[in-house]
Amino acid sequence: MIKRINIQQSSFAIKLLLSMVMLSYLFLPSIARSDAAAVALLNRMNQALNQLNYKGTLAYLRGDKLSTLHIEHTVIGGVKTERVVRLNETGSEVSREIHGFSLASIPKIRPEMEKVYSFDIGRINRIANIPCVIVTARPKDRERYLQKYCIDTTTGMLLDYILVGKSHKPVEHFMFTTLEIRVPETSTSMSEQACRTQKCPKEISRIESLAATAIVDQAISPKKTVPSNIVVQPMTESLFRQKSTMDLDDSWVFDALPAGYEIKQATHFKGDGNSETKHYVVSDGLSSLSVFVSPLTSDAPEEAIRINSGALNVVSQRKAGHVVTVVGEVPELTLKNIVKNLRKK
Amino acid sequence: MAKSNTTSVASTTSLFEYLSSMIDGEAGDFEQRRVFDELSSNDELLKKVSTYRLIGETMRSGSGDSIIAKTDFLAGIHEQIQSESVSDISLNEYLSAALDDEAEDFEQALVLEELISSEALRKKVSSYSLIGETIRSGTMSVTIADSNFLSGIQDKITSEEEYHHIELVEKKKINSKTWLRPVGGFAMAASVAAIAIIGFQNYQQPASDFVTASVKEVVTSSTKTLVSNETNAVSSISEDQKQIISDEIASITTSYRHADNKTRLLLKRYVDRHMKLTSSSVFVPSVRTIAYTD
Repeated sequence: MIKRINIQQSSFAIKLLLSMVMLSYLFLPSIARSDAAAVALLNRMNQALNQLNYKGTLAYLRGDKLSTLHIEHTVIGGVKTERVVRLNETGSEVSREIHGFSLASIPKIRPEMEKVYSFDIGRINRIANIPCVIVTARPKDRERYLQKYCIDTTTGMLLDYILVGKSHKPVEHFMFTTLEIRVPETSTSMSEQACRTQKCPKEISRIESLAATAIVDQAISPKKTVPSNIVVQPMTESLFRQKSTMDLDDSWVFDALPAGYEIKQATHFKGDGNSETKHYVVSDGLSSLSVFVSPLTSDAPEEAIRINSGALNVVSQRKAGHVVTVVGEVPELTLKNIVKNLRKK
Repeated sequence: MAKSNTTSVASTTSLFEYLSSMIDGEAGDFEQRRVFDELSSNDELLKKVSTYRLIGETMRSGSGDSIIAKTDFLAGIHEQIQSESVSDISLNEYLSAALDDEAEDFEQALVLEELISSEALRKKVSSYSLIGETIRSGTMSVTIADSNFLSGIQDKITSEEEYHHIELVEKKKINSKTWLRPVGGFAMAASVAAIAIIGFQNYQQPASDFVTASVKEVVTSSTKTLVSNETNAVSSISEDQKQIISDEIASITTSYRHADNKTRLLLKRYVDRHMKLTSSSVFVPSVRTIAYTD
C-alpha cells in the first residue's frame, strides 16, 4: 500500500514538473513581450505629452462627480503652458506655465519600475473617435494605484487615463471627448532640418504643422506620424536631486519606504512667516508624492488631518515640533505609512 | 455453460438498465434503439414499460387526473389520490420532490414534520421508496395484480437471486472512462503547477499589505511595550527625546479626521506645489487643482 502511494506520488510529481515546464514556456515569453511593447508605448506617450500641442474637451470623473474641461497645452520655444477651463458649474480656470511633469522628470520607464508594476498591452479601443491601444501598469502591491492608459499609436497621445483603487473601482477617470493635436513649431523645424540632412526616416518626408487637420480623427495618415526620432528637448531644469540615502535634511530620516519608491529633494520654499518649508519628492516613476516639512505655526491643525479628492490624497500631522504634510496620487494608506516612517533623529 | 448463463443475465440486465434509463430520459440513441427493438417483439416488456410509466406518472403528478389505470393496483392508487385533500396533494408533491432530491429546505421540513406525526404518510413514503427502488432495480415481475402490491414487490425483491449485473454495469461504466484518470491527473498537476507559479511570482514581489500589516501589528505592539517601558523606566531623558517618544506614541495611535474647508484651503498651497512639480497626472495636472478646490 505504501509502495503504491509512493508510485502515485512520484507519478504526480513528474506530471507536476512537466506541467510547470509547459506553463513556463506558455506564459513567460508572452509576458516579457507584452511588457516590452507596453513600456515602449508608455515612453512614446511620455514624449508626445511633452512635445505636442493639443487642445480639446476632457471629461473628468472623480468618484461620482463628472466635470467637463477645456484643455489647452502648448509648447512654444521649449516653454510649456497649460490652460484648463472648467466648462460646467463654477467655470474655474487655471492657466500657467508648467515647470515640470512627473514623467518629464522621469523620461523613461526604468527597469526598477518593473519590480513594482507589471506592464501589459491590451486591446484596441476608440476614444474621441481615435483608435488607441490600452496599456495597463498594474501594481504588485497596494502602495499605488493601477493605471490604465489608452494611447493613440499614431501620435503617442494619451486619450484615456484611469486610476483604479484597491477595490477595483476607478478613483479617477480622464477621457478626451474631442481632441486637436498640432506638432510644435520647434519639433517641425527640427524634423525638417533633419530631413534636409537626410537623417529622417523615408516614411516621414516632412512634418507640416497639423493645424489644418482641425479635430484629429482617423484622417491622420500614417505618413503624418509624429516622428519617433524627435530630439527631446530638456524642457525643465533639473528640479530634483536624487537622495542616495533615507536621510533628509535637519536630521529627518525615513525608517522605511514602500518598495520601488525613491526620495528626491525638491527645492525648498519660504512658507508663512518666512519660515522655510522643506519639500521632498518620493516617486516610483509613475506615482509620486510630496513630503512637506514645515515649522509648527499657530494655525496648524492640532489633529491629524486627511483629505481625499479622487486619486489625490493629503495627510497632515504634527511631528517633532513640525507639521508634516504628504500629498500624492497614491492610496491614503501609503501616505500614512510615509508619515509614520518619517522621524527626526 | 456457466459463461452462457452469465451472458444471458448480463444481457437481460442491460435491457432493464436501458429501459430504466429511457423512462428516466437518460438513454442514449443506442440504448433507445435496443429497447424499441425489444419492445416491438416482446409483449411482456411492452406491458412492463406501460406499468412503469404509469407508476412514475402517478408518483409525479399527485392528482392522478391524467392516469388511465389499466390494473387494479393502479386504479387503487388513482382512487386514493383523488380522495386526498388539497393539502395532502401539496404534501404529496413535496414528498415526491423530497424523494427525488429536488425538495427545498422548506419542503423538506414540512415533509419531515408530517412524517413524525403521520403514520399514514410514513407508510406512503415506504411505498413510494419501494416503488422507486423496484423500478430502478429492473427485476420486478410484470404482474402486480393484487391490491397489496407492496408485499408482492417486497417478495419479488427478496426473491432476487443476485446483483452481479449491477457490478457488471458499474464496472463497464468505469472502464469506459479510464482515459479520464491520466487526463484528470494531468489537469490536477497543471492546476497545482499554475498555483505554484503564481505563488512563486507573488513570493518575489514586495510583501503584501496583509503580511506588512501583520508584521506592523507585531512591530506596533512591541513598540508600544518598548515605549511604555522606556517612559516608565527613564525619567531623566531630555526634552527632545520626550518629544520623539511622544510622537512615536502619537503615530501609533493616530486617528485622522476629515479636513474642514478652512483646513483644506490652508493645505491647498501644498497641493499646488505638488501639482506644479510632481504630479503623476501625466497630463493636465491643473485638473486636479481645480477639483481640489470644489
